[in-house]
Amino acid sequence: MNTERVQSRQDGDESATGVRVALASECGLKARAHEGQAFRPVFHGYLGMRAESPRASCGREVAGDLSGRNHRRIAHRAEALCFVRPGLQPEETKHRTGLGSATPLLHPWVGLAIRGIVLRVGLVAALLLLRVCGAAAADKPAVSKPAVKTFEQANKAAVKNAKEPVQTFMGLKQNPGFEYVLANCIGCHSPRLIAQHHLSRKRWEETLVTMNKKHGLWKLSPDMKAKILDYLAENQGPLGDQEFKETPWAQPLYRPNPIW
Amino acid sequence: MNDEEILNDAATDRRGFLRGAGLAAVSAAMGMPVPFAEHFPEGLIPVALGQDGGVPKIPGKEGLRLLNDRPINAETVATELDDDITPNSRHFVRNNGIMPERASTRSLDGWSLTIDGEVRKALTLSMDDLESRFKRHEAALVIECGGNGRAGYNPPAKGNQWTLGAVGCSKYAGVRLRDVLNAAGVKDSAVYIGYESEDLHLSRDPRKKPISRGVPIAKALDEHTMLAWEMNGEPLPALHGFPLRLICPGWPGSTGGKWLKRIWVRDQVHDGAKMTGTSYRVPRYPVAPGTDVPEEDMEIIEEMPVKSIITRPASGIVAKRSDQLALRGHAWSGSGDVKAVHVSLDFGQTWQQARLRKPANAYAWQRWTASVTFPKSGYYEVWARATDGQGRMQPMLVPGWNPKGYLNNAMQRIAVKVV
Repeated sequence: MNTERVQSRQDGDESATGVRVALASECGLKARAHEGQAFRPVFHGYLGMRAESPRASCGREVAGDLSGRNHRRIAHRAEALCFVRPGLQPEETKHRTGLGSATPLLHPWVGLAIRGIVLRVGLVAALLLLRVCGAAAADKPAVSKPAVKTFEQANKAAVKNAKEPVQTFMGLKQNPGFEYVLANCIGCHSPRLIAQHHLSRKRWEETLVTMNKKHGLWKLSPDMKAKILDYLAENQGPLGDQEFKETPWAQPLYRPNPIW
Repeated sequence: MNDEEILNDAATDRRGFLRGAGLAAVSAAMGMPVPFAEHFPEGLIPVALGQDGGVPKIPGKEGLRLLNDRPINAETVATELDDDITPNSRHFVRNNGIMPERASTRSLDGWSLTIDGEVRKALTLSMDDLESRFKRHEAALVIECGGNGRAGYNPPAKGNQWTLGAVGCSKYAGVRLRDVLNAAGVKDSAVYIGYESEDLHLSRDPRKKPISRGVPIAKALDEHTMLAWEMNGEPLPALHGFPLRLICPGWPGSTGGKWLKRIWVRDQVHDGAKMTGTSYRVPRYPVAPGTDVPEEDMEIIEEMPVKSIITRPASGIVAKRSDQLALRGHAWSGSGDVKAVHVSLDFGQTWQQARLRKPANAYAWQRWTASVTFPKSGYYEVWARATDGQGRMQPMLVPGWNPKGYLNNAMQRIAVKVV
């Protein structure tokens, strides 16, 4: 099985160097990034390729369907495709998948900008590396330990390391901040109304204003408002393919497949 | 039963445990306090306890996908919309508030319909008055939510994420609104009507209205606009507005108030709940997706656009190459006239005309059928496109983005694998 090596960084921090993600070549392009914004893979071995989607389709699956029986399967699959790190601590694994506790993320716009830069830098770096290392680069891991040999091994490891999926309550993830949403939002309407929406922080903020002005939501303290917005932005943010919000022409406006 | 109790039953049927569990038990089981637990339907499983194992079903509403349970919003999957006349059990539900007690108890005690405002003589009518004083009117009418198809917009729009199924065509009986308005004598100063209903705002604040919309007086006096108390031969179901609802065919479903108690003839554009701001409004001019549009540049949606659905086969079907594949569905438009339906098997390069049946009456949907064969094995998409009387067609892509995601009449596409 062909494998490709991916070196990733965490928020540009070199301390995460050594992270290895093994990807089957056929899913490499799809899996080049993922839901957890703090985790940005840099690709080696894909020369002259344009990043199609900074968020992997598998990341989207994780974000898109957290309910029901599929949950575990999807989580496993997502880990296998995107987030495998041998020796990774469970807590970290959880975070990588975007399934676990919320850790502070960069502002989405900053994230986007960084991601763009990282992808570009990554491609150039990959080109240079390949020049230097020649064909040997494809045979040897760029960093020796802990390397994953095959996709199958990676998959196995991911399944073994996978954590219980985060529980949801009527569609809402029980991640940090969930309790503030419970306490302030679901007195009148169902959590499902929230769970249906995937909005930017700005749009969520507008929604809170509307709820206060028109629908009887009490005045929130700035602190409480921030906590609620943190939760909503983190857990109910735009989905993967909706990220090119400001440049819609870059993306087709219809869904890629006739799912209806 | 109220909204919550209705869902309740379904949830407890689904899983037996915690049936009737008290608040304390629920909180304890969840390992955290549940604020507002008193508003939780008693006995409803806090879905947190499973992995959100499923969505409660609404009894008597099989084949519907629940989008929201408070307020209740549910849509019908496309294949369940195949009937010429949508049965009550398969008609989508879009509620804005909490259903009034009356809808569940089905009592007419203390109920009346008031017609007032810009009329020469205000009327207060009982159900008997309505039935005896005015000529009965029956019609099969499409009711479609203005936000049907909202899920297709990107950036995502706020509101229930309807896909295809916030539409139905049931048969209603009642009286023409114009007969009732004429009995009251509409003054020349009349501009608009606004309805008021008995449902409660979600906050249960009696000063707030969940929704109070209306239409210009010309539409109110149109011969097809009606007050209905029967749906498919039965008294209006609770979810659909018992005892009386308004229907303004071809216009967003929200213009037809349910649980009706007052028609207020206005000398200005009605300014009730969800008439103003961005509700049921779209920009006056085309905007780029994601644009912040000032409220003053938003205009009220009137006529709905031309649209069709494919009810057979289901998307993802595997068909034999040798077979003729029968396609069918419905087409309708806000102006009540669909001129043609075409289907394409080659991603829109060529089109063949479908057979189109005449509507049962104006503003009923029209059955279309087509039979196709596939030239070779492989992956196909069937696209269906309706054209209205003015030559306007359904767009292939999601039409003009708008902040609240209304009026998506993009063609439906289904996938067919031919072997």
